[in-house]
Amino acid sequence: MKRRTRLLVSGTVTVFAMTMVLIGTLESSVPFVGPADLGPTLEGKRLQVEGIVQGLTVGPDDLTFELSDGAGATVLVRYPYSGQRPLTLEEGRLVVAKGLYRQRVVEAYQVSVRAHEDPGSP
Amino acid sequence: MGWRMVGLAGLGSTLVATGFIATQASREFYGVDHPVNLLFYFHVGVAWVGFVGLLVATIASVAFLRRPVPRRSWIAQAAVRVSFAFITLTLLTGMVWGRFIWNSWWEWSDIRLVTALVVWFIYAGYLIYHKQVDDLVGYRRGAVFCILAFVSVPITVASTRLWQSPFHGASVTTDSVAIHGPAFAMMLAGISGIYFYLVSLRWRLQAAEHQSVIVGTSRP
Repeated sequence: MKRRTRLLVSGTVTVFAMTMVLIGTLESSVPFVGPADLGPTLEGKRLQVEGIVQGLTVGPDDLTFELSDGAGATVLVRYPYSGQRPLTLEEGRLVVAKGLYRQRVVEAYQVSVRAHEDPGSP
Repeated sequence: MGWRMVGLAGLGSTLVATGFIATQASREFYGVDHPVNLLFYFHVGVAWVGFVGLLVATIASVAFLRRPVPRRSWIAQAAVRVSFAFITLTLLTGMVWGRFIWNSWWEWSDIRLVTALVVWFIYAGYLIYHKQVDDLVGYRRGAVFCILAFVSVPITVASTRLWQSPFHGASVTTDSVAIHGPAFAMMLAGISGIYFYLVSLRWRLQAAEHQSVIVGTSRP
């Protein structure tokens, strides 16, 4: 392999690695909380909220549901989506909603389902 | 000829296993009935074989340090090269599965995914390094690199037990997944056969390239 090609490959891999690390750092720096932790101090912040899906309502361009910690605390989540509804996003699933917490609602840009931790799910 | 037979047997076994999986295996994992779950057999197969291949590379590297014969380094390099391809397939198939089941291509909060990516980067570094050296001193450094790099493999394999892994639980030792045992074993054997054929092909190719360089430089 020519020196120029080697440098190009090494450079590309390095830039890619740095980008991945940066994205990972930014993602993992978003606070991870449960519904009971939410309050005025977290108003307007980007959060990752974990809980069990309850009262799922399917709208024309969004999903709305409550996240429960199983101990009484809940928070409303609004998740806009287009295309096919996420397969595993259903009642009783343990999920992590990532988004902006504003006026007691999580405006989610991503909802990830913890399928491995849901052996009892439908 | 021998390795070619191993490769062909591996390919045959993989195809038969794929047929079994498509027709006999349950598509329901973690309460979700979807064909994408069948990717599990290939995903876990290439992951296991890829990681075992890195152990082979480490053993070859130790052997090289004990007695610096170029062939031992070539075997290590070939094993890493093919394992790297297999781990790339593991990451890609995992991402496709995650997109359907987790509703997410990637999760930075999941320790198994992140450690597997770290393994991928470490061995990418090893391959880039070996692109730039072709002498015994370089091979020796590469062997040390390979031995140290292997530390990342058991950490990745055990990561879901060592730390909390929000998304990635145990795949095989869980009641939430009904694995078709014979099909999985056949798939694993098939992928192993393909792996060892590719490794033998690669190191023989490197040996041939080296030979041609020696012949080329000895000409007047």
